Amino acid sequence: MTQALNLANFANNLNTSGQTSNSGLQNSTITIAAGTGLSGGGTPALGGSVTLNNAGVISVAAGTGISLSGSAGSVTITNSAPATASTVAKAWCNFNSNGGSISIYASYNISSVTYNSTGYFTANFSSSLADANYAVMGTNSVDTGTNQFTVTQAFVNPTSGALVSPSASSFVLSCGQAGYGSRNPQNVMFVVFR
Amino acid sequence: MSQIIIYTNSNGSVSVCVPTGELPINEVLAKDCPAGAIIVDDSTLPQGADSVFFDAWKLNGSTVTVDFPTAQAHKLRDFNAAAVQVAQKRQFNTLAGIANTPDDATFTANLNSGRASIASATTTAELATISNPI
Repeated sequence: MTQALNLANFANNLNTSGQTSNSGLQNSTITIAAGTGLSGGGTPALGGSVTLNNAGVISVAAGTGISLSGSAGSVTITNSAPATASTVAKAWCNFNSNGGSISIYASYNISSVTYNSTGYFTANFSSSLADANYAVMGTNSVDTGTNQFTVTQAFVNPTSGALVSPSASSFVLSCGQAGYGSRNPQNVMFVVFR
Repeated sequence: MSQIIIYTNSNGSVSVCVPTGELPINEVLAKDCPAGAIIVDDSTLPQGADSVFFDAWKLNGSTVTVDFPTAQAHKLRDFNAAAVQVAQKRQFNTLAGIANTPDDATFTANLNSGRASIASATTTAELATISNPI
């Protein structure tokens, strides 16, 4: 079955190319609503435009103890500050000191370990502690033989031997064996509480 | 290979600062090391027997070498410190009526031989093979 199309119904809405105007459509506009964190939007006519603006977070910046992986797109936020509770360790490290060089195995809040002289090491905090009233506990393995050592916090300048006050940014470790002087163990492990 | 930071101490020896990787090495250089410290590859440090005599290292420009007379003096110092410990133990044995092995004459001869070997050594490899008294 065929039915004749009444062109008179379209006549006023067709141009010479046979295209209809927006007003000739059943729904001639759309509504764009601003969602969470956005502003703007509205009801533009077809062929028109509308702008949406970010009314919420417009930038990300690292604060104290916070580091960012980037400034746009997928940004990872990392807490780089030491823990604050006195019941948790503020720093720790496990390193090898035998053989004239140091290998760092693992650490937390330690930026570097300096090999000053045989049996004397300076541990530097990545983030300084609140003050110098912290407690250091250390232990170690044997050297290349079977000699056992002790590890203590030393309040001396490792090269001059002069007494020095504790620091909130670093401390000196001394490794040695009674009667035999300073020694380099294979592994030195320490933890710091404050 | 890893990058490390080296500098000369107030007593003329060398300090080696090893970053843990928590901070960029340039930040460690600025924060943990004195002015004049330099970043080098750890493969440039003395190796083998030379690495044992860390307290005798000297920094010339960006090169670390072993000052052999200093290494020799440190070896003799450690040898004598160990000799004192062993001698004390032997004295306690004597007071307790326990025979020492080896006997005193051999022990003394071994000490003199060890000291002579240290004095005649010309390389760190030779020094490293000389055992302390036991």
